[in-house]
Amino acid sequence: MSMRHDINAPILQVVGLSVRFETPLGLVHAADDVAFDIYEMETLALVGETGCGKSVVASAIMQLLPGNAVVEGKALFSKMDLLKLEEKEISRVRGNEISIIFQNPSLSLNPIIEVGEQIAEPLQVHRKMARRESHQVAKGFLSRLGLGERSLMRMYPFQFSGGMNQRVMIATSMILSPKIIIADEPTKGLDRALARDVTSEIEKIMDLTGASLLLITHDISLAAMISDRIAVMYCGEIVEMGKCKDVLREPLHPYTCALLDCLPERGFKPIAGASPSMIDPPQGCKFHPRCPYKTQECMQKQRIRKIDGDERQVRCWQY
Amino acid sequence: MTFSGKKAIRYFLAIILIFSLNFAIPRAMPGDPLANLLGEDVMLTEESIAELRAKMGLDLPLHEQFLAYWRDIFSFDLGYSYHLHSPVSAIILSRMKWTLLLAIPSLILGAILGTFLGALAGWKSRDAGQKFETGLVLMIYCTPPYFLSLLFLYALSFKLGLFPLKGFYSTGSALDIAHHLMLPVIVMTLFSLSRNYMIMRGSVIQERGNLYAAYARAKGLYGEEILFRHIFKNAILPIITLLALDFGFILSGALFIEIVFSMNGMGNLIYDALLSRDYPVLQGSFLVITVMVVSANLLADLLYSRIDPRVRWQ
Repeated sequence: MSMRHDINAPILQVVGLSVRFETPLGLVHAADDVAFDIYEMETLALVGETGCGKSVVASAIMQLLPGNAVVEGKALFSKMDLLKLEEKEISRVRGNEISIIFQNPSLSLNPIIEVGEQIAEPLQVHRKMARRESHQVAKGFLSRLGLGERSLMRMYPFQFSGGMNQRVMIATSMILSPKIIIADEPTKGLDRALARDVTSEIEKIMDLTGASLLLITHDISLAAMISDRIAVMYCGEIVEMGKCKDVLREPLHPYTCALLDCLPERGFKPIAGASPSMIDPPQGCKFHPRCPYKTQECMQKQRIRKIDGDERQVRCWQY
Repeated sequence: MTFSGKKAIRYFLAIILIFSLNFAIPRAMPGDPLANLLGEDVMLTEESIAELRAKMGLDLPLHEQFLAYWRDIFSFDLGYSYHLHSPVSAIILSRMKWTLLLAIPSLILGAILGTFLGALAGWKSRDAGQKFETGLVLMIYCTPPYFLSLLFLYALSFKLGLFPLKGFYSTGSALDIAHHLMLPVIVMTLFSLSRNYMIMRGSVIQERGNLYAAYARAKGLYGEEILFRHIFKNAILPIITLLALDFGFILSGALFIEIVFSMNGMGNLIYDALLSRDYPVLQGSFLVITVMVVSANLLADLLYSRIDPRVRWQ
């Protein structure tokens, strides 16, 4: 995994992405002014606690949010703004140029369709490939992921374990060699050994297809293992972003520091206070009510993103 | 033992049980079993009663009667109707064809149209045109079939003269029968369509909220592709159950339609037999309907296991 993006232009540029949900309880600010770039063949990890809005960002890029979502901003991909495309146009991008791996593989697969057919489906839909031919291709992908027996193609999701279904989804997502694969919590609900398997499968795809990966996870050790860059999200905002090893070795934002301190190997220290409400988020820096370093400044004004060199970004008044 | 084999045996046992009950009920009822078997309104002299009792084997011990009963069943002898002066099996055979002529095309048409229209209605349930269509189907769904028949007869036959008002059996030519049959088939199709439509619509609305439907969209499927490639097969499962459960109900729905259109079908036969307490005909019809309902259930079970692998593999 090399850092090539200094020379290349980004293949996906997310600019000022905000997502709000209209609910009976009020407006939920799920994502607020989110901006990041993804370069060719790199892995960007979007990490944060459950409910910080990272999956919402992924769904927004693919236009997969429910009808009560209000989306603002841009997601530029091969000269198109994905957020402005009509359903018909975005459907040609989905699964073809950008594919997504959902976080619940066993529920995401159709219970009464054979897994082989489900893997082959993107070929039939996007490439108009004949059924038999598409199954041949699907079989090849499945066996590359360690499920090589012919009979497995004719099995149903309920006969597979969660890890096997996860591999079915991975095979489906890579079958058209998309430019970007979004993996939404790929290790959620899997035990350590399975999570390690899935991780190595994902690394394998990256090598095989040359796709970029947007990895959405709460699992920092997973992000550390496979990502080039990391973006830390808190309460709908990216608070820090930079090269993976820099951010983990030398976190700048107080939230990143606190998050890393939660890890078992760093002492298991919980963050004081509770996650703020997304309906009525704190004024100014959203982390300030829980921040040990807060000053008058943090409570009053919305802090500005500071760019440190070109690689490192942080949203904190300290910098 | 295969899945379908097990199912078939279970249904076979159910039929044997029901047939045995049919044997037991007239003999367990208070009063003279002869009267229970012939019907209450049959007037007979003392000698003919004794003669009949011997002929029907009612003076034999119970287990011999039971064996004789099964022997009769296997030779399609369902008894004799003293009201209609004819063997029950012959009566039922001649009546059944009219009911089947009415019910089979209506059920097939109603199932196909109801399922497809209902699926589209569920898929686009927010669309104004679909809402209007659903309202219309809901009205048909709520209208009793006999009332619908009367409305159609009044509007299409009486006012517009498109269909004949009576004389179903006047010439007996195929074309004439088809012409007469058209209106009852339309009414019954609408009746069966509206039931399937409502179930399918609800089922699709429920299924389209599942994660697999969202994933199908994320894979790049567009619009109705998602409905027909992914949701339809899952949503149709309740329809199959409904078709089997409805079978008995549909025959009674056909009863009202038959009465309104004066067709000599099973519905009218049962209705008349009820009024005249013609027990042999009632029991014979009961047995035939039982066999049909049980077969419909078996068929539904097999169909279900074909579509849903989770049933097959359990």
